[in-house]
Amino acid sequence: MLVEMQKLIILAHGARRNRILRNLHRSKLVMVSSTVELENTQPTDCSVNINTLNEKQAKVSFALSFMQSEKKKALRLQKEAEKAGKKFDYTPIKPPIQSSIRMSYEEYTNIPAREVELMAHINELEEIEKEYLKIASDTQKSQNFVEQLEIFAPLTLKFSTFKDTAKTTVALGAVPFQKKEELEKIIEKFPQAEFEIYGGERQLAFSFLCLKEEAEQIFLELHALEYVRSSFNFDATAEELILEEKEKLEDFELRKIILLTSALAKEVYIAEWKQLYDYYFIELAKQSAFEKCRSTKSVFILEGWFPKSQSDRLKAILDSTCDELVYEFRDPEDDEEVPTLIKSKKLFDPYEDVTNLYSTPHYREDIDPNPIMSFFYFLFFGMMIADALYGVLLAVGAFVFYKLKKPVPGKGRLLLVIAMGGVSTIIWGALFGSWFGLSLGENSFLRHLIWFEPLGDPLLMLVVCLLFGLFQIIVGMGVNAYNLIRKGKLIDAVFSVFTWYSVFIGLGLFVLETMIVKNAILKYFAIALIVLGFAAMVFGNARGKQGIGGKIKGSLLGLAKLYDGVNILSDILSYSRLFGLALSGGVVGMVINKICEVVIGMLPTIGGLPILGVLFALPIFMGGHLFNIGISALGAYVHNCRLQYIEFYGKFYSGAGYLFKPLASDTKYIYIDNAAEQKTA
Amino acid sequence: MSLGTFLAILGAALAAGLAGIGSAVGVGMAGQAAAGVTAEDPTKFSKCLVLQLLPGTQGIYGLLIAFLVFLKINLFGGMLALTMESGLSLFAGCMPIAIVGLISAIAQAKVAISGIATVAKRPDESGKAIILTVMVETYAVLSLLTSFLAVFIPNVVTM
Repeated sequence: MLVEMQKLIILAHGARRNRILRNLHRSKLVMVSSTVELENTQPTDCSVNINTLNEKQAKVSFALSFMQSEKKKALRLQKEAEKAGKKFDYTPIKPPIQSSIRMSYEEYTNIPAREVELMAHINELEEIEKEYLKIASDTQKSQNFVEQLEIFAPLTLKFSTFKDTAKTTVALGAVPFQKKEELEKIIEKFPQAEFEIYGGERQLAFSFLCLKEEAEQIFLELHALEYVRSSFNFDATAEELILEEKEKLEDFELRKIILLTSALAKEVYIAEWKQLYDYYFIELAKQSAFEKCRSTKSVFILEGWFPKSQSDRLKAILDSTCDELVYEFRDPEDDEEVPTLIKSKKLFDPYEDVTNLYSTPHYREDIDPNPIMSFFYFLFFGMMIADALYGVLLAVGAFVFYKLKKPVPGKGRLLLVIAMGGVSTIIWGALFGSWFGLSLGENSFLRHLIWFEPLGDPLLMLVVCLLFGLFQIIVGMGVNAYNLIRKGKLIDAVFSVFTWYSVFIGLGLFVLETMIVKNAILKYFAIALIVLGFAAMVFGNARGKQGIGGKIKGSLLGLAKLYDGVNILSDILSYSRLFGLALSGGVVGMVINKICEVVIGMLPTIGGLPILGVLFALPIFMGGHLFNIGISALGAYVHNCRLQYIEFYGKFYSGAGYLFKPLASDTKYIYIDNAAEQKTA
Repeated sequence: MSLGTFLAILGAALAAGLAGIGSAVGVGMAGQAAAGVTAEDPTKFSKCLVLQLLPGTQGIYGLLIAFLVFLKINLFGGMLALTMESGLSLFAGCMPIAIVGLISAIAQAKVAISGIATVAKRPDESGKAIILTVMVETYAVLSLLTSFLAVFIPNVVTM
């Protein structure tokens, strides 16, 4: 049922804005909308507050993602340490399986008291990250240094040995190994110079000693060979230096582990950071809500929507907020876009998510499509999986998971849709006599439940699927008629829906007559109904047109209405997907069973019992059927959605609305539970 | 084995094979896109996975028809020797799902990839991306229906 909404207008003193917004948030009743432009008022600007809050929120979100990567790192390290026989103890704090942190409003208001401390811990994390970055750059530097030193590793002399004298140049350097031959040519070219080659794998390290006059010439020649002259003048050998650097690198690793440990010590704050994150989220939402208001120097005007049924509660809350405020409730005006809030019976409630995944009902244009849609959704879901034991697994699995997750109101409803789909699957599976695709024993009591077996009589299956399709389409048109009549458009309902009904009834009677009854009067009656329906469709299009010319033109254009028949036909054919999915799921199940059968038949028996075969076949059986359940459930879910959205909603549903979301209600981690409060109010 | 039986098996092989190729290519293409989005934001994995799997059904439809042909020629319990005509008729029945399965899976994968891009930008709209992708599958379902009826209804004629 779509909940009737009213508009709230508050005019209050600016100094009271925080208190008012706080109470509106707490009430969970009001969705703030943009205030209409009024004379002498300005739009409010909260960008400064919003920016600071955004920065703080970003900090918390950094902490959360940083901790996540640190935890992963720690787990990896632990595994490696285990393999290497070393010890690195880390037991992660398991996050609770429940998806949201539930808290009372009092607990929520206590969050900011912890803000300073929690932020200080985040600052520490930021320091740790900086340290990491520094270590990373130091490591890089050290590694580069080692790489350069390694060129001169074959050299046993200290770098400081290579020093120019007054008359000579002494140079240490290297060329790529491939240039060895060219280098030898240069050595021959300068017989006075003294070369010494030290070797090396990729780079050829060598030194030479020559007269200063000759040096420039040699450098020039060497330059062509990508010669790099070492600029090191350490009083140590390359090997000594490498050892030193390696020690440093080890030290870096050690420091990283120390940093990791101190980061992990912050793991206990994750839950509180999540709360803080949402605290900022709520504050941000309040600020953005306030930005929608308009204000004068000292007064601001806030507008919002709330469910009419809650007006007494809202009144009580506003009255007790402060004295410096006046407010007014009024019904929505015709040109206002009102948000949609749906209140469903508990059984249909989960299916709201199916509709919302498509689009939200319009406040005025649409009726609540959920109850009737859920019926069809339930009906078709099981048909597409069509195996009773699959249904049991789905229903139990989804329901247990839901109970473990304990989602807060409005969340996790898709799990319930699947659990109910599981129930539907049990029913259909029993009707189709499919239990894991195994053949039932001759005397099994389950045989009594069977309506027919789809693989045994696929034509009947196809006809059943298409008839269900026809049924849903007729219901969809009926809903459209109801909706049109509700809006006072009886004539439209007659011409766009009842004309088709007349055609359908006519066709039905015609089929009845030709196949069973054989009665000429009935036949003419049927034909008359069909003709009447089509004629009304065509000429009905002329209604509301001006003059005889207009009427004729309207009627001619009405011929295009007949094309709707093609649409309806293709819509009905679309329900053959029920048939396709049911059979494909069933056949895959049979294939798995067949494979198991073959495996069992192939392997030798032990003492007449196929123990070995069963041992091998069991994993195939379980894995195969689990896979089939997964694929079938996915297929059932999406194709069911498609049938509802396109074939069913296409008949009557505009979906042009937007959801009613109370101020700051879509928090990520926390759920403020004031159910107890609401009951007493 | 008669030539007719061979033709029937050939048809079954093509139905499972070609539709399987289409699904493999499609799921592969969509998987690449999904991996890209997941690399950017691992929380979108489940939404991407659903879209990636959608072009996979054609392969299953192909398998269905192949299995049906196997049942028809009694592959599991001593093969029947079909006449040429009967084998050809089964072969022809396999063609719709073989050809349409191959092409529609790839066409569907292209929509799935765009859908994955939608998820990357607006994760809340993943439902719409799924619906757009499922639209393509209608034609695979229709060809499955055609193949199913064409294989199922005619009685096999043995020599």
